[in-house]
Parts: sequence; C-alpha cells; structure tokens
Amino acid sequence: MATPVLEAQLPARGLGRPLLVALVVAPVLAVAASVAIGRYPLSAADLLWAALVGLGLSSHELPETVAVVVFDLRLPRIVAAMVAGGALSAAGAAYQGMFRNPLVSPDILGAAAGSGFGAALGIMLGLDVLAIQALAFVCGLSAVAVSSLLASRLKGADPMLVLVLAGILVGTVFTSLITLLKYLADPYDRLPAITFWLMGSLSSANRADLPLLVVPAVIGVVVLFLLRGQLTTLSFGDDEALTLGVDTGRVRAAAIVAATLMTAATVSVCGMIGWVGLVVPHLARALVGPSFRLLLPASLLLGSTYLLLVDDLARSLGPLELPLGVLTAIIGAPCFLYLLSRTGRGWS
Amino acid sequence: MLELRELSCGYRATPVLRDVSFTVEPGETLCLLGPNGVGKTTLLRTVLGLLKPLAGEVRVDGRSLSGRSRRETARLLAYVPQAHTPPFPFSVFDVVLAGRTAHVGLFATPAHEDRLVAMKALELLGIGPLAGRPYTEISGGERQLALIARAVAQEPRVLLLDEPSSNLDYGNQLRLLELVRRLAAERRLAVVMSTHFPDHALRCATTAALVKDGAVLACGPADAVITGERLEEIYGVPVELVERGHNGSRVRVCVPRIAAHVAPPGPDPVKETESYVETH
Repeated sequence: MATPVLEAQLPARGLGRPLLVALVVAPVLAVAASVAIGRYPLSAADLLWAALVGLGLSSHELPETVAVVVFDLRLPRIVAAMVAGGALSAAGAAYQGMFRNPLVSPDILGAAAGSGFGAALGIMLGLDVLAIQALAFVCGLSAVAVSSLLASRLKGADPMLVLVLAGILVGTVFTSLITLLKYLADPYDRLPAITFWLMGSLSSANRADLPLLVVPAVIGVVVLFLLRGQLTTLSFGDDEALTLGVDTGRVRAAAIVAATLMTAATVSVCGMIGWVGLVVPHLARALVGPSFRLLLPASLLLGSTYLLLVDDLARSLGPLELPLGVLTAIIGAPCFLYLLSRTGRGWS
Repeated sequence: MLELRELSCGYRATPVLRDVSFTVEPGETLCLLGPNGVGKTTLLRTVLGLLKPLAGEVRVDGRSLSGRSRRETARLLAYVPQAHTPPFPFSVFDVVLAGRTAHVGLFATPAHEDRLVAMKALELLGIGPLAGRPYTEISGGERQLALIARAVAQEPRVLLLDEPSSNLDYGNQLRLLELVRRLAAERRLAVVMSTHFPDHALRCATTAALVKDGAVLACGPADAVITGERLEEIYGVPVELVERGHNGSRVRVCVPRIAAHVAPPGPDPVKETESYVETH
C-alpha cells in the first residue's frame, strides 16, 4: 500500500519547470531567428506576414521575393538543419548508451564513411542530385550491414567491442576508397564537387531533398522512442540487462538499424557533419540525466537547435558560406572539452 | 522453488562443474561454498541463462527455464552481481528502478506503481535517503545494497547472489547476511548465495553445497554438511568447528587450526646464511 510518506519520498519524475520551458522554447526561438537571418533583408512586417500566411491564418499576398526566400529557401533549409541535428543527436545518444561509452559517435559503425563513399561515387559518375543522395544512403546502410556481418563472424568475448572494431575497420576501408576516388577524380570539376560535398553543407537543401532526409529520420526516432525503456536498461551492461529481462540482441539490432537510418539519411543529404552526435548527447545528459525517457527528447530538441544555430553562423559569418562540417568541428571540439571538464565525474 | 537437475556448466564444451543437482524451496537459503576458480560464478551464470548449460536443466516452480523468454525468466530469477561501476551517472533510484524492466511493457517506461515498488525496496534495504544520489558516488557497500534492492524490486521467485559480502566491512557483512535470511523468509524467496566464507553459510544458510574439483562434494542441511573435515578438504587448511551459545541460541563458527608462528615451508634463512658464510 502506498503511504503518503512513501509517495513524498519519490524522486521527481520529470524535469524542473525552467529547464522544460527552456528546452521547448529554444528551438522555436531559433527558428524565428533563422528565418530572419540571411543575405536578403526581411523586415519585421515581412516576417510577420510570412508567419501568418505560413500558418494559414491569413491570405495576404506576399511579395514574390519574400515568399521565395522564406518558403523555398530558408524554411526547407531550417527544416533540414533541425531534422539533421536532432537525428544525429538522438542516434549519438542511443549509441553512447548501447556501447556504454561516452566517446562514441553515430559514425562508429561506418555509416558516415559509407555514405561519403556513395556520394563521391555518385559525383564521379555524374549522376543527378537525387541519385547521388540515394546512392549515398544505400552505401551508408551497406557499410553498417558489413560491420554487423563481420562482427557476427568474429567470435569475441565482448560483442560490443567486436562490433566497434568491425565498424572502425569498415569505416577505414570506405574512407580510403573515398581518398582513392578523390585521387582519380577530374581536378577541375569532379574533385571540387566531392570535396565540397564531404565538408558538409545545407546550402543546396531544398524541398525535393526533404523526404529522403525526413522519412528515415522520423522512422529512426520513432523506433528509438519506442525502445527508450529497454535502451535505458541496456546501458547498464549486456549481462545485467539480460538478467533484468531485456532481449539484448533484438533491442540492439533494432536500435542500430534506427540509428543507421538516421545517420545515413543525414549524411546523404547534408554531407559529413561530425561532432553533433558526440557533443549534444553529452550536453543533454548533463541537463536531464542518462535515462532515455528524458535523454532522447532532450537530445532531439538540443541537437536541432544546435545545428540550426551553427548553420545560421555558417551562412552569415562571412561573404562566403562556411562548410557546415568544418564549423561543427571548430565549435564542437572546444564545447566537448568544456563539457568533459565540467561533468567529468561519474564516468568509468 | 529452484531445482537443478544434473546441470553441467562450463565454457565451450569444457565442463567446469558436472552433474550439479539440488533443490531450494521458498524461504530457504543455499550457500555455495568452494575454493577460488571452482566455478561458483559459472554455475550462477548458467542458472541465469547467461551461459548455455552443457547438460542437465534448471527448473523453477516445476517448469524448465529453457525456451522461456528473457522477460519471463527475469520475473522468476533475479541476480545480484558483485558491485561494479556503470559508465553513466544514474541515480540510486534509477538503478533500483531498472529492476522493474521485466514488469514494464516493451515499449513503455516504469509507471507510478513501479516507482513505488522501487522506493519500497530502497526503504527495505535501509538506503531510502540515498535515492537521489548518483550511484557512482556512494560506497561499495551501499552499491551492494542498491543492487540487492534492485533484485528485490524485480519481485522474483528466486534470488541469486554472487559473493555479496566481498566488498563489505565486518559489520556490514553480518548485517547483509541477516538481511538475506530475512528476505528469504519474509518474501518466500528461494535464495542461492555463493560465498568464500563458511562462517557466512553457518550464519544464514539452511542448505549448503560444497564444491571442489568440478563436482559437488556434499549438499544438504548446512549444519550437517559443513564439518571441519570437509572444509579442510575444500580449502586445504585445518579447521575446527566450535559451537557457542548466546541467549539460548547456539551458533557454530569456524576456527582455523594453524599455529601463529609456524615457519613457512622452504629454506631456513638463518641456516642458509650461516652455511654461506662458512663456505665463503
């Protein structure tokens, strides 16, 4: 029987009000700011009307350029940045929990390297954009499939370690193949395209790209969300999770598929964006704790806000747009060091 | 009720323990006694299903464990491993709450009722005030208690503990044994505990299984099975059992028969030095 005394001793279940509000409001503010930022100046009135029209609350006739800038240029880019940032962060959080290692990022199993190879190959073959993205996606999935297959053949004492080693192996092979392709590529045309693509960019994100990015990412997030309870228990360790009732093999497989979908989709559309899947889960964990019930939503919200803001920087810092992957690394690495120094306690 | 039928366990077809058979009824505590490396942990892991048995079977409440899902097994058997450190700073409450995983839906998270069960388990173990502390910041003894609370929250029929008193100080060891005995009795659990200390078995066990050289040497009521001769056979040191009375109850304790200053086997350093000086 639950006595009032026992109830009173229960630790708080959710987040404190200020943190909850901050997490939810931050992305909204970021979106509002991002629509306003850009080379084409938009007045406050323009923004207001655009928001009303966009929400379907008004049938006001927007000037052609405003409509194009907001709805065809900026909004798709904003959506892409948020979906990519959220997806990479959620995948990173899932992997860090699964591999019980806070230094793991979503490309640990080779998804990013595989996608990069697929994209480079597509560019070399002169395919159109959608085909390049599709090829990158397929190669990313294949890379993880190869890692998993390799890992299942290598009977090791620790299945997680074997999987990580196989992933590093496969990632290295694909990275070398990318280098080979760059070497063989036409230096005036194909090579710059490959290099630019690999640095990561959202500058060409438009409406047509969104489905390839959003659909796998949403599927991945839903799967991870459904498994949040099992993943939390899995992060205690394989043996313990088994004795606590988790079907570790199946849960891990499902989580890897979900995270791979998210990572491959992101890399196919946006190029190699690193450090987001590594840094954001740490920040999220420092704010809401390691339980996935809170960590997943927090990673999604923080990751989407983070990448959106970094992309705003990328397109507004200088006359030339900076590659997103470069910026996430330059900002991400010091952030990571700072987080490590502040929250270093509690890691084995 | 836990029943082992001719269970052989080991790694990769090499048996470590053969033909282990015993039964533990609800309310009983069985202590596994044996020297280092004999296979106590291997046996526990095989019973839990972490290792495939090489032969024989494990039955709980009359039904075999093989073929049961992880969730079903977890609702029957709970494991208390030796304390360790998880890589993430979960709170003590979160650690205990993880014990409810088998009772929570596959796609769900613990509900209010589950949280109450976890809190009650913490209170039962006397570590309620530690609920909000990070698991990584409490002492080894407190961690052991948290792991036991987690097993209690799992509401199993059988409790398996792997050397639970290893990291505890003398007082905590005794308190833990009393706790285990009480848990078994009050919650009608069948308890299996592996331990290095025969004294612990004498304090809290109803049954004892003595293991050596890959087989069960003896298994039966603790007081009958644990004798000086048997302990000497297992551990290789001469031991006497002495009975003490206190307040009407009698308890048996082990007293080693090694003299305090027996010279270790090997060359006598004094004689060696003398002979060296003489010859050089």
